[in-house]
Amino acid sequence: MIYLWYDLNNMITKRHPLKSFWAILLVLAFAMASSNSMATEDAWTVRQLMQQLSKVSYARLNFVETRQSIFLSSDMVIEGNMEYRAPDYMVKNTLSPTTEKVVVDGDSMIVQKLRESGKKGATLQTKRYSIQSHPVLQAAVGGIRSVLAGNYELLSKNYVIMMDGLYQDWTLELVPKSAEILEHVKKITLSGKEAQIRQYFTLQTDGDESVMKLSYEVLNKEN
Amino acid sequence: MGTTRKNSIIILGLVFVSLIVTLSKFKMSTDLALFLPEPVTKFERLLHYQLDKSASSNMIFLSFSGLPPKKLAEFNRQMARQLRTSKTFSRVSNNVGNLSDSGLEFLEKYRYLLTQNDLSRQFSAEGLKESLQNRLEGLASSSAPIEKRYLRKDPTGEIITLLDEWRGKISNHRRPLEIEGVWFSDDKIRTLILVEIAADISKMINQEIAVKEIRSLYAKIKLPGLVPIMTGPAIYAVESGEDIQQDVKWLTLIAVLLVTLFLLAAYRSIRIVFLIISPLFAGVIVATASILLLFGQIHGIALAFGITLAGVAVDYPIHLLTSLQGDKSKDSGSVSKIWGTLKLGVLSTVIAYAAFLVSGFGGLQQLGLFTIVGLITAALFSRWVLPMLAKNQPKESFGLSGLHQVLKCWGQHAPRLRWVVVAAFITSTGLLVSSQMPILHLNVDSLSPIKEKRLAEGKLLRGDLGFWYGGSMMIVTDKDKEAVLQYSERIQSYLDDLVNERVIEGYDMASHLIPSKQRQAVRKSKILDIDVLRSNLESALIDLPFRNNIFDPFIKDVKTAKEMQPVAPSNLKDTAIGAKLNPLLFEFDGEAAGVILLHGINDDAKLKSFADQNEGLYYMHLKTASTNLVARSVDRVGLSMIGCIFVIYLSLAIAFKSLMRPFKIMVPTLTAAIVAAAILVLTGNPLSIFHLISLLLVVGLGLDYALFFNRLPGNKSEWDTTFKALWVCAITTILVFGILIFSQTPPLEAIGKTVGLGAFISIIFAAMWAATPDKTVDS
Repeated sequence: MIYLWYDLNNMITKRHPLKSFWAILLVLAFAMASSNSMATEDAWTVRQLMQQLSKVSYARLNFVETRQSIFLSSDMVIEGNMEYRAPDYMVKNTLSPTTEKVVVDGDSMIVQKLRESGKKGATLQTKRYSIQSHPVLQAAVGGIRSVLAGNYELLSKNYVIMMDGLYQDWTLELVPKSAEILEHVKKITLSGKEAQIRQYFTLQTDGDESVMKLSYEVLNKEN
Repeated sequence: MGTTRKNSIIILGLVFVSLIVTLSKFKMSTDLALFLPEPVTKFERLLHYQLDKSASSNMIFLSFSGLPPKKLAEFNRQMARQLRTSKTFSRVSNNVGNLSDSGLEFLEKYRYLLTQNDLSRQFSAEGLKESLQNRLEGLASSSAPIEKRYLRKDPTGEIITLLDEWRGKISNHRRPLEIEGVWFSDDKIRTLILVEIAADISKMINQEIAVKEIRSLYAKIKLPGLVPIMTGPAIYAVESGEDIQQDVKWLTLIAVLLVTLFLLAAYRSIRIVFLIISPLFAGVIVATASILLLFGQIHGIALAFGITLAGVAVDYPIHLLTSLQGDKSKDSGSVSKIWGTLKLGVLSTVIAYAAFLVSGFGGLQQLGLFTIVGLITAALFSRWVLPMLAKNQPKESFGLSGLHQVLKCWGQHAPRLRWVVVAAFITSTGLLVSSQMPILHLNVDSLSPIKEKRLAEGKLLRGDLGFWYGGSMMIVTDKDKEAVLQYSERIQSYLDDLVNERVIEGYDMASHLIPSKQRQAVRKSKILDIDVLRSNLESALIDLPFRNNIFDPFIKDVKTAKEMQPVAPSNLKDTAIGAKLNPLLFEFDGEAAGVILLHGINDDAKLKSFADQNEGLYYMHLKTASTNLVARSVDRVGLSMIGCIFVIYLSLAIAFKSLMRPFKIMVPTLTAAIVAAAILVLTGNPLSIFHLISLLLVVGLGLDYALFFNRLPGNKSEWDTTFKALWVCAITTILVFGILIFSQTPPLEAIGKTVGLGAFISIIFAAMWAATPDKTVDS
């Protein structure tokens, strides 16, 4: 029943009354039919979305991220592009205001930065991390990666999932299950259309927020 | 008869007391260090101390391979979890982990004294502006979480710089690869776990407990295809200890069995065999007791070696019984006659074993003492106790008469081959001198009972994790730790140049971990006045989007740093940083010593000349240092060999009141030693210190034979019995030393091979060199 409560709670705050209305009806109908089967039915919709997402074999997208920090008096705007290759390869190229390339491949995360080092000019600095060893990194990439891959098992293992909307216009809310990750990230909200993620919102535990708007340049599905 | 009785009671009493001592105090050790040469020069001792102290001596390296990385990583985590539940291990690491809270606190607290950055520049308006812009970029990057954590108190980013220096480093030059959160070799074939033994590892039992625990964990592994390895100092110690114990158990058993069987075959009387063996047991008991009383415990190798006593000590009763046999009247006249020759034999053997005492190896000293005490006891027992026990000895019936006939025939004709001894002497000396093969084995590995496979594994796993594995180091000594740190700082930039020029791949030194007080004072003096800092910060913040007053913690920390006492190495005690510092900077001989561990040496000569150019800096190649150590021991053993041979000659000269006769007697045995040496060298066994000492033993044993051959009686039947006794003695000696060849412990194996071969050649040459008996015997 917890799912029902989440769903209702979530839908009430939604802005589209019509959609919410249909959703409530739907939920109520399911609830009336069998309150026990509610959770499975709900998970099935997430599963369906995930299945669509898992068909994406390659994607290239641009992002514009707006970060709001308790330390800064104005918002920070970060721009760049991303690349995804199924099942677990991701590159994030930040172009402004700083340049940085982050490659996530399986468990390893490689961060490359150009560093000005005085006389010798710029040098490329490469650092390599194991994602499993650092909760901070799991918090940063775990959610989006599982969604991009459409890996329902992984996602539901690490997050409490709440789903809203229809396949044409969906919202997915993820709350980390592990205390270690909750130290960094409180909540992630993704929204999108069909197999495309349009927006990625992160609420951090310290109160900082970031909204990342994504636009697809290339989207290849298998077959 | 009165003296005989008195003496035999004294000897029996001694044996009895020794038996009680042995039974009540018996304690065996298998410490290998006893069989390595002791360090003499200051640097050798320093090296030993450092290797002993170094943090890695309590480490056991585990690795698992044979499966795909994902499976290995999973197994690694599961294994580490299991190991962490055990109290035997103080730490179990399978990834770099995070710096402990205390370590982080330390870096935070002392950051303005520890940082390598120039604080007068960092705290200027321009410097601050630049740093703040960097922070802003950091906030926009993937490192935002760490940036945010330290932004308010550390806008110039000193903590992040220090953390970067610190995190994930086992040594300064490399971070091990991690997959799925656990360590892997660079080729992703092996996953690794590092465990540290909690208890005091100077006690062997603690090492045994740790190794046993890992073994039992390994035994429970049920993953087909998984290849587990464990290596590290504790494994070496425990495994060689077990080898030694096996040797003691099996070789002793086999030697006693073989000698008994052989004697039974020869004499066909349990009683005679018992009589022959009893002095040997008396000798072993008294020898064991004296070692226990003197050293507190007896080394396993000494005990295993003790069985070779059997090869020598049975000679005395055999000769004595033979002479008793020959003497129908059974009075002690014949006994004292043969005792004169026996005494000389015992003396020469004891002098030969005395070389062990001055060898410079604690272990060999035990061997020598054990044998000397054992032999003297066996000889005295044979002389005084045996005749009483043998009173109603039955008429001897010799069992191996066929063999005796063959050997007798050979023995009678051998003296015609006198020239062979001379020819053998000339050829083997010539071969030794002209040989292209290395004659001496100066590699310390030749002394080490550690299996080569284990050493190779150790090197591999250490390399995977970036541990120093004993190539080269530089050493700085000065009056105190501060002076050593200052010196290290002065040469640091030159060492960095060497890294850039690829002369070395990296290096670890104390000043990477902690700056000298002098340098800290310089840093402190560069910290600006707080008001100036505040106004610099204000002007730097213009046009930047940071909120007002968020940097108050920064101002406060700088203020505290200005008042701070510098960090001393002693402040680091009990921290992870301190554990890394200990083996790199320590007090030694009332001085302080700093060690610079060098990784990946590409140009030895350049390093040497670098050290030569810097006064007070010493470059040491571990291999060279240990080779020097061994070479010096070899020199010492060589000298004592010559000394011993001379002493033997002198004592014979005094005994025979002649200068020529002892020389004549010694010719066959010295030749036998040289021939044995030549055979070993030419078959690719360069002579180690153990071979050399064994050659001396060959001389000592050979003289025994030579003396008896020299006094072969003219009377036909006496000649017959003496000759019989001689070859029975020789065969027991060869048998017993021959068994040592099967030892798994290199020192014992070397001794067995050399003495077995030498004794064999010795007796043949002694027979050839014997005073021409053919005339007397044939008549």
